[in-house]
Amino acid sequence: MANPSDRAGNPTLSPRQLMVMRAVGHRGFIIGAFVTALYVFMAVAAPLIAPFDPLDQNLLAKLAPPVWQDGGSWQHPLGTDSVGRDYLSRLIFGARISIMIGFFAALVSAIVGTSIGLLGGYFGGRVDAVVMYIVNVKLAMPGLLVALALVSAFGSSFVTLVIILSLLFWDRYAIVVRTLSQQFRNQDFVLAARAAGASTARILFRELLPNLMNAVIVVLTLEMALAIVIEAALSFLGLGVRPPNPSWGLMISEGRQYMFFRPHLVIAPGVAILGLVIAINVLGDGFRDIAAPEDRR
Amino acid sequence: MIRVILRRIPMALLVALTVSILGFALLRLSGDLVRELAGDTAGPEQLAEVARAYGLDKPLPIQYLNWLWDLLRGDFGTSLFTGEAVSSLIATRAGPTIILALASLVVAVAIGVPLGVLAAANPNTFTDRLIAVVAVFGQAVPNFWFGLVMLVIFAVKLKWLPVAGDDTAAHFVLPVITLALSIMPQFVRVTRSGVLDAMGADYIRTARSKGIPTRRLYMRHALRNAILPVVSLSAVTLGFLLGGSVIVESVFSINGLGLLAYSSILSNDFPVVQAIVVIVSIVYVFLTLLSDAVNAWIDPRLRG
Amino acid sequence: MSQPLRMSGVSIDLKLTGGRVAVVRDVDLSVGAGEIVCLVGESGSGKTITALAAVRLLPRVAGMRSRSVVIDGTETRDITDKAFGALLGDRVSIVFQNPMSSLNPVLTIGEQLCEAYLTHKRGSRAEAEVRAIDLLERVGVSAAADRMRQFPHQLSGGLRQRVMIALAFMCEPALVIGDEPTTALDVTMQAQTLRLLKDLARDTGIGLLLITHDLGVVSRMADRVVVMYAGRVVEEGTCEEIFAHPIHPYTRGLVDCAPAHASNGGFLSIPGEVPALTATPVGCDFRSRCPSAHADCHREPPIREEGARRWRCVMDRKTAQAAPTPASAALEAEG
Repeated sequence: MANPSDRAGNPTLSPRQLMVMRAVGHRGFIIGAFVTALYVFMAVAAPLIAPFDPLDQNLLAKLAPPVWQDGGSWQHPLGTDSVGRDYLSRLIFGARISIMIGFFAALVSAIVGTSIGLLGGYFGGRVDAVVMYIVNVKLAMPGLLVALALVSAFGSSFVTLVIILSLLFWDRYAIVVRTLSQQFRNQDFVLAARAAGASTARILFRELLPNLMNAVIVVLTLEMALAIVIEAALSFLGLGVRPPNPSWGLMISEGRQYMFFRPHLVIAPGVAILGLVIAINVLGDGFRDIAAPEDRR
Repeated sequence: MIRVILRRIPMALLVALTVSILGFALLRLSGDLVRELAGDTAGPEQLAEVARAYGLDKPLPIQYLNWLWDLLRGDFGTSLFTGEAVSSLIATRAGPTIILALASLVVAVAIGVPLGVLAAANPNTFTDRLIAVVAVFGQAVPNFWFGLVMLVIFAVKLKWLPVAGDDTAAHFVLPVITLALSIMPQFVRVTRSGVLDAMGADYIRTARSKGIPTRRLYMRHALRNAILPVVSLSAVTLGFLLGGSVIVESVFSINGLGLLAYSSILSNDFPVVQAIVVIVSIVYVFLTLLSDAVNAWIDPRLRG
Repeated sequence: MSQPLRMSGVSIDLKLTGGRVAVVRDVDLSVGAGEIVCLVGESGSGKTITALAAVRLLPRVAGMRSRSVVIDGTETRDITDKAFGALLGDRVSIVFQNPMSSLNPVLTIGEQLCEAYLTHKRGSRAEAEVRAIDLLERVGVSAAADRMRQFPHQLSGGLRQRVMIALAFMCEPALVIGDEPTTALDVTMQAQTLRLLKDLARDTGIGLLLITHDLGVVSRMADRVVVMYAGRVVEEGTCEEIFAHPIHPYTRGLVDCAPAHASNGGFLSIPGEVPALTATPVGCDFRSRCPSAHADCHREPPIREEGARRWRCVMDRKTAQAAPTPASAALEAEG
């Protein structure tokens, strides 16, 4: 739908300035960006804001209650876990793992998926048939099971986790980018570049890619949100981040046996995941509205 | 309709074949199968004997073809741990997973599609935003966590429902709600945008100009067109649920395929994992073929 | 017999982010039984939206005010949408511009024709089918019974527009509105389709309101012509009078331009542009393009009437017809 306010807008503004203006006026985007930024700050500044070392055990203070329960104290606002580690500190440090793994998994899959989609969409024909075949194979495989099997076979260091998660998420980029580059490949700016003798690589990376970036960023936010949930799920199943590292999924798994009398051990990390994932989703939806208001529904 | 299916079959076969190769590779990735079979204490002679007995001394392509041949005859090998035939192991465990997947799909469609229509009928209103909030929540909430929280509330505190297992219908209530919540948002989104597209179409204006009542306009004219992506999504989702119910099965202790795959992965019982991966993939390929056929039945333009 | 359409004092605003835009102002329009009225104007003149207003198919952003909208003897100004729905498709129906997208792709031709009938008439499906086949044959669709089972994509554009016309006549309406019904067809189909529409209208004695920017269509079809400019009716009269003796400078410009460019390019030759709707001037809307414009044109022009003839200009008939037309003035300026 055309947005009449754009046409009425000041014609001297560049598209980028218009985007900034729309961003400032978009409540969802601002809230999503603010909350996401809060989490990122929490992750970066974790050593400064966390009251304790998240790995420090204190067997004398096991399962200390949170401050709102009888016997709780401000020393451990969220109490301690089963080996006496400060729960708030673990929660704060948990943001690091979620954000790092989520972001890098989304980024690596973005690079892979975008390249594949670009090739298929731009070249078409046989190249595209191969691309669609690869995408179809990916879609047919039960991703979560394969990821679990791979983690169990190759271990779960940060790098392997990122790579294995990337295998789960590249296909949506490929499909979106393929569709868009099919639309773009016969448009004037590409034809002009081709007529001017630009190399294929130049057309792909200098002409097409910049026009695809907004769509890729939208997918990136959604996939990052999903990757964070899946990392938590893998860790919950004991095939993700290894103890004693504070991953929210792992914390839920560890808190599970105490959840009847210390429900916050399960609820707190879940709420942390929920907040981050909703914020990233809202941010992504907002970005889509801002970057391409004509697609708004 | 048959033509539509026939045209898709070569790609489907190719994908199924590739999946079988990848599934086979998955087994070999896992390390030394011979040692796994023979046990840690086995000497070189025993190892060679085990290798010969299982055909593991042959070159990989031959091993693959042998495995594929067995597969086509319905022989998925035997579990490394229980010694049971993988096929019967899977057959006994598939039931709960299929029930779980189908029930979750039905619930998600039954709630998601009407919500999508409702949102499309009132775009950018409070109703629309409220539905969007529900959708974002369902999409964002980690389902293992949501399952646990519901378990505590409804099974432990309120004691309305059983805590774990898969014996009665009541056992499936919470798992189905949990899974349905996580897949429903996609149905809401796809329906909403499909109906919005359709409602903006010229043929809806025509129908409106014939005085056709609004309700009928949505249900007969718009939804019929908007339902195509919902059909495709249903097939994809069902395939996903069959292979992705691990988490919910483990939270609610449902003895289905997911839990079987999970325990087999943990115990390096690779013939089982391999078989589940290949079967779920092939079912997925079949489901997408089926959804293409259903769509061709709904939309005459796809019959070509 | 009651008049198929009589609307008066119709004004339509579009609510846009920048504010309200008055796209139609104080328009009176009527169509008699057995009469073919052509509503003519450039794109943006408000002709289509006026017609859509008559049948309440305005876009959400549009707001409408009127003194009266009578359809086939029923005053519809204050009735509910639901009550109006009973008239829509029954007493009045529309043939839209684009036959390629105006039929539902997933329903057969027969289903769509019968649905329109069964929505309003008590009758069996079989009766509806008989009527549909009969109408299809009358609009020149061969093998009508077979077509009933076909889907829109199996028909050519010309055939689909015939189906649209049949659809409009299913319930024997009093008024049919054609919104540029032939613009999307190729030239050979256009003439045939218009002929058909005209014959059908004459046979059934309905009122036909045809919206078009094509003066060729107007001269072949119209009994009466209503010319719109910038959201107002500027001139109205019988077809012969309008073509032989146009009065309003805008109409004179149109008629002058028409033969030079056969069908649809004609308007381009009037110098200047329709004023931006957001900046509609007080006074005559055409004055910025009018060669006879003078100080008086800054005031609201009067509506002059001579029998069935009406025009909206400060000049009386004699003065207006003696003045240079916009097109000739442009030629002089160029020469």
